Amino acid sequence: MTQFDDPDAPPSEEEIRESQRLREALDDASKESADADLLRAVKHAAEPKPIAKRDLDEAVKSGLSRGERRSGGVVIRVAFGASFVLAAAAAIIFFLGRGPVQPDAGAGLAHARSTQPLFTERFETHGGESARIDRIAVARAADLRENHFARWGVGDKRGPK
Amino acid sequence: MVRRMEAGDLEAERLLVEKAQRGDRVAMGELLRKYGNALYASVLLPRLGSEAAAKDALGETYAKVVERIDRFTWQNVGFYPWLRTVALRVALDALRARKRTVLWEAEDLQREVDASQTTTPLDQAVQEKRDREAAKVRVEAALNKIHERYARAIRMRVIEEKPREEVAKELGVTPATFDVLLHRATAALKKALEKEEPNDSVR
Repeated sequence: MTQFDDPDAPPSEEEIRESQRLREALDDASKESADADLLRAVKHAAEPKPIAKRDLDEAVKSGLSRGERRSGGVVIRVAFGASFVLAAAAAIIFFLGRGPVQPDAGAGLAHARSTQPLFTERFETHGGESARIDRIAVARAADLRENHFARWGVGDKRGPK
Repeated sequence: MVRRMEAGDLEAERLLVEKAQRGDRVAMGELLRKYGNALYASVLLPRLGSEAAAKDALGETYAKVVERIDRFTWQNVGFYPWLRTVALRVALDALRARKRTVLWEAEDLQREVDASQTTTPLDQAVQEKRDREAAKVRVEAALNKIHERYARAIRMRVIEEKPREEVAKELGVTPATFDVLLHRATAALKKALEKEEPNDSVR
């Protein structure tokens, strides 16, 4: 019988040391402990605490600036005096050069096509129809799912298979 | 009682989304702030199991949302289902990069990502309630796989946050023995989660 089966089996020296380490890590989150992390994960799943307002503000701020940087968006900060004129001129040039962004709805989507590439092996003229239909259905269901994701803008980088 | 979005709320949100899509930073900030806690507490924190990881994932979710807002198509259940799907995808990437044991396997999360797209989107309040209940069920399913005494130790000390001495007394052991019991309980839980087949998980 192992200690996993018998909670009250006498502990080894190592177990006593490890249990002490776990206790310290639970009291002090800065101490590294995979066991304490697992127990905290249990707590967070069972009774998640709300996010602090400060942390939410920080997430919004960093998300906005990172997202804008990635999408090529521009935030113009208004300055006074000569720097304002320069900044405004630069912004106008930038916008003229950039032009409107049009989402390409069709980019990366899988389109209707032959099923031939799904069958590289030879098959009998009779029998096996259900298996072949299943193979087509699985492939097309994956395409459909990836198309949905792509249209939602959360598509996998690999794109439709 | 879960309060569902009413027609007026939905229309106000649709207008906000339109403004955000036209580049209105204030409107975008308002949308992100509105659903921040639901995404954090119901989607990211339970799945990633760490406050730091969940906060990072929330920031990354927001960055993706801002980056791709022009591709969002309005649906009559509001903005939240899209946000949730983006958050699940971010959580999936984070989970795949993690080495430590948590309650969710990447495969479980992949199924949730798929389901978020293939099933009918739900109103935010309903979805949030379902997510929270599913997380609780998952915890209970994990605890049911280990010895009852270990499960009690984890429930009382970790979930209910009772003081160590009090839990030790309730379990009829000294505080030092309770430390050993909790250490063993954690090891047993980790072992149960690691050998768990994806199909065993609660979805």
